Amino acid sequence: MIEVKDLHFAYGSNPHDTLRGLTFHIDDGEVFGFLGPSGAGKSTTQKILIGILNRYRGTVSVNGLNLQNLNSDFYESIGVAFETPNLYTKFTALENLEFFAQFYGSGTRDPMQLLTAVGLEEDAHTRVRNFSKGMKVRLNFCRSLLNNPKLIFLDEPTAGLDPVNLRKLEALILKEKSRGSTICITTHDMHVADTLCDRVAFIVDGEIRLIDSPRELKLQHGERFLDLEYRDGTSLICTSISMDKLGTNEIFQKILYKYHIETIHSREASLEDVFVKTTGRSLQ
Amino acid sequence: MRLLAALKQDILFQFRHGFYYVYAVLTVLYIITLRLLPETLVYPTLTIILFTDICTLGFTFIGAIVLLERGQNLTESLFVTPLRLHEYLLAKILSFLLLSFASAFFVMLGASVGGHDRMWFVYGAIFSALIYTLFGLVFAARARHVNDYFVKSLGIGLAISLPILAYLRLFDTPLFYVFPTRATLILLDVLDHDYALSEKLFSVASLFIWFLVLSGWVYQRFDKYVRHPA
Repeated sequence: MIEVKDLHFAYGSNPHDTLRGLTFHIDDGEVFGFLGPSGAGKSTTQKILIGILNRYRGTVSVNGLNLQNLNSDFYESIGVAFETPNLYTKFTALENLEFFAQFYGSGTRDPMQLLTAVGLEEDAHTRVRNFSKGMKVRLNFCRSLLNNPKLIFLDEPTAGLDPVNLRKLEALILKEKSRGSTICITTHDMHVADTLCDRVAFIVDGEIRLIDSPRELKLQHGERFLDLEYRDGTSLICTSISMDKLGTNEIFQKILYKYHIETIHSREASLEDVFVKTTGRSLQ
Repeated sequence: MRLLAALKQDILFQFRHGFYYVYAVLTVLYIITLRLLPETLVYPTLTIILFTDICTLGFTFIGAIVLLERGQNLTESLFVTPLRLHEYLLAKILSFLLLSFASAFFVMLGASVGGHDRMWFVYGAIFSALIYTLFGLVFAARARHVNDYFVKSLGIGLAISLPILAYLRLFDTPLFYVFPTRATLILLDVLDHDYALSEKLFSVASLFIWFLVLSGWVYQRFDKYVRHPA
């Protein structure tokens, strides 16, 4: 669906490239994440894929269309939620959605159903200036789905959300994926990348350092050990056991039969560990 | 359909941000002023009022509207929909034209003024409003906030208004005929003074050429700095 080769980009007259030779592809129906610290080039990459920034070098095509040749019809089938919620603050949530829905030639979704899906049905007639940051983020997300997009771009989609709404939004993103949409997410939130993305690209200083699925990365960079905590009388014992031939490991069998196990964890790496190890940078 | 949706939204946007109230108050003040003046001063004052209203206020308010919109990051979201740039600009211009024209119409109606050369006058009022709206858009395209807009546009705004000196008989030069404001002042003044047909035709042509040039410039600036900023 998206094919990018040797992408370079510099802002204005800046002699230094913000993006330096990015090459990647995003398949149909995939949730692809750009993961990196602030200023790494995630949003810039997304703005190029959306067609906002067009003075780039390299090749970018979406559904076989070279983005240098796109016209406004391109936007009939894509949905975008920017990091900063961009909404008419003196208009209500419903008025905002109804206004944007008028620009699409093909059928659009019912704005009230979208508002209900993100828990904003009771605020449909409230002006956006009275919304909290989290409410604006949810409304912004609704707008990106108005036109039943085949390709969705979400820039930091969960920023400012409380845990309940975070889960709600994650479920909605996965629902869009199950409908067959391709979703491109930029985030610096490991949990979001881990939960939602089929593949992630680690991006630092305008370069992609690694692309793989979160699961594969965590396994590759982890250790094949189990960490256990169990009670022996009043004592709490912590131990580690190799996961190789676990079924025949006598110590493991003994602990299982003899003691009360309180915790048991496999020692795969966290996505954050992999990021730090691969890029030498933290995500903040 | 998209143009109508954008136009309706722009009118509502301007209304909810209080622009219609400002214009209503100014219109009432203009009418009161004109009604209090002796008859000989009504037409010259009307010309000055309309010139100020259409040019200065138009120039100022269109910048404020675009910057208010950009302050809410709205342009970014508008240009990732199928809305075309020319539709976006046309909606802005038409909505503002409506505001300027309604104000001018009510001033004329309220002050009970009229004349035999209304066709030239209406053309002058419409194209002048268009041109100063376009001038405002040229500077609004690159301004980051209202102060920035005023700093960038004030010098040019004052410079293009120089032919007012000729109208007030303070200073005149043939160079003023290059300025769009010269044409504006002639066409707004036709209700009060007789002008040669050639002078009126020249004014019409001048405003039309300015309109074409500025339209292209605005499109190019918005495409470069607003739709595809980098």
